[in-house]
Amino acid sequence: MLNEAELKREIELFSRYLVAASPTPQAEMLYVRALQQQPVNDKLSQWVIRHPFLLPFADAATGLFGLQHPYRKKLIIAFAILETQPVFAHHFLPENAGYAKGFSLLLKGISSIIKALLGWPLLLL
Amino acid sequence: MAAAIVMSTDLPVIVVGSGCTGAMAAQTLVEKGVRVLMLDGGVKETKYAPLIPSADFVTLRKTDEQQYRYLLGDALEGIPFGKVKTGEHLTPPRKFMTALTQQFIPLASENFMPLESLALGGLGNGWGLGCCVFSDKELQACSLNAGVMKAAYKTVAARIGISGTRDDAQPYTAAGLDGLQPSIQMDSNGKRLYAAYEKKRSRLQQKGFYMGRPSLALLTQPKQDRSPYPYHDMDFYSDASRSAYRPWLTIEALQKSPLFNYQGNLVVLRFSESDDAVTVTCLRTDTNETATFKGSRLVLAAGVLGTARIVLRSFDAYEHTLPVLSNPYSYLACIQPALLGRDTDAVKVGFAQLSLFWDKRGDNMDVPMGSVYSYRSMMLFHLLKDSPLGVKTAAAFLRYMQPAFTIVGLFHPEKYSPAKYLQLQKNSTRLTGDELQATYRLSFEEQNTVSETETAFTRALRQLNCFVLRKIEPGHGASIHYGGTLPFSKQNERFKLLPNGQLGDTQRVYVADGSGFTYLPGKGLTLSLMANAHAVADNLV
Repeated sequence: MLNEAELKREIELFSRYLVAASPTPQAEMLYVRALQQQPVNDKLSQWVIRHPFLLPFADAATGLFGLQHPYRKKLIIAFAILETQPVFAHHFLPENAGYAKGFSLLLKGISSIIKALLGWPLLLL
Repeated sequence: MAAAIVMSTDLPVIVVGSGCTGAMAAQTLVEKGVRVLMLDGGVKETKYAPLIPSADFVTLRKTDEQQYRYLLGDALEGIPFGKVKTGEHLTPPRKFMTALTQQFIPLASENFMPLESLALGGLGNGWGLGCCVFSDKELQACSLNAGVMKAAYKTVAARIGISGTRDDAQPYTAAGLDGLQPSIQMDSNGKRLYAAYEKKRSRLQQKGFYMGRPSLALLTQPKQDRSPYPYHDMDFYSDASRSAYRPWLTIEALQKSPLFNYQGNLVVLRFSESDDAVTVTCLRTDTNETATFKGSRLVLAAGVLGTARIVLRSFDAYEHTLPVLSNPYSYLACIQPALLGRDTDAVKVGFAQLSLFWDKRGDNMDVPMGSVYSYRSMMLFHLLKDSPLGVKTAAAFLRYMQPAFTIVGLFHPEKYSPAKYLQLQKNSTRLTGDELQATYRLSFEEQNTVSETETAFTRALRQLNCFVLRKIEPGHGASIHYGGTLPFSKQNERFKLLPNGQLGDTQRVYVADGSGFTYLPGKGLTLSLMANAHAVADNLV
């Protein structure tokens, strides 16, 4: 089981990845509480903490496993907690965007598939 | 003969359960000057409701520092990580509905996952508010008296307050009801779909599809101490405005009457009859001790499954088989491409905005119903679990798609078939000493009918430029519509109900929930359940 300091490092990393900012103290507290209540053990998180540039690849690669992959489960817990932080609400509420945004999302989707392929070896950890 | 029994002036009528049916039966009895003792599980929500400010969903999301408590729950119970099953998606402020059920009303099944409640107000706390008047054919198939029910519908509608519109759906929703308040406004999702329907009305109607505004037990104008719908889109979290009818409103009003006595923290185990009274034995949920109450009559409104337990236990009929009905239910997760990335709505509504009926024979019988919702006041993380993309990319997609999401909840009509039944079996590990075992399998023909209906709705929605992305089957029992365990019959037989709701082979026991219904139309059931409960109580005095 990860200790509090490690969990704080994890949420810091996830928050910077998901909302491009450090987590609020409340989000940090909730993440630590959540993972201490329901421990989720995976080697991938520890690896990603040591090598943060791998996070997007790990995220994309674990997508196909849904909640069965512990890393994905942790990332969704972090996402759910960050979603309830008013300061980050604009990252989560529906946006008013045009079709150009839809096109850019398609490119993001393709990029995500490439990242998933590149990140596939991480699943062997 | 039941008619020979004289009501004791000393003893109250005991009503079991405070859900939609118990509340209506109790109100009818009290209005007739009868003393009522209501025995109920009585679980209340006290933790989250006081935390929720009176504001709209978006404002709360942007401002309320405490939102994590009611959106996720103090124990993060709002993040469901298991398989999709009935009740899994209840928000933390609604989770109280299912509290204590595992301990006090256990059910074991491999293929039937019903939702039951020991809450004050029962399953009515989560009712989607859809109100449908059954056609004469449907009432006949349910073994209900059309004349009695039509009058009862009007009484119940006047009590709870219904909003609706006279349109193409009206023959399937509020037919014959007067005094409807105007429908709630639609958001862009509903408006666009309805505009498409109006353009293609004749083509769709040729195929038997009729769309219109649903009749909802939701106020758009003030009624007594209840306010109009505030468009806060907090419908899955809070009842603060009292615009939505919930049975606890009736119980709260009845508690002002000296004729009404409410006793909570009780699970009714069994009844026994003597010459002058009926004795009810209960288990206290706070102390696990038993308690007994005497009444002149007993009205069971514990929900179909709850009533089945009480009746089987009372007759010591362990392992006796009762049939059960439950509408098959599925969700169609759809998208209206024209609304992608267009969050321009001032109006946001969590309740159903449109109803789509498929009357393929044109006789208002065996009509499946689709209820159309937007996906606004739910959190994105609920959808992430099902995405094959990485969390960050999936979230960007979902944000863009969210204004265009349209959810169609599809209720299918339900008839008896051999592989749907209940049994009460002894189990010494349970607090009650037994557990209800349920088996529910659709026959091959029924599965085909469900598939055919889903395909027909998918095609009809496509014609309205609304495209089904995914069909979700949350499992048997997910419709939260149950019936048929103690079918209505003209014969006075055990495990059957006489047409007035009296339980066969008893003198003083009546059933006011859906246990007697011998058919479940695909339309919203709750208004009919309440109307029947009123009729049973009305006939009792």
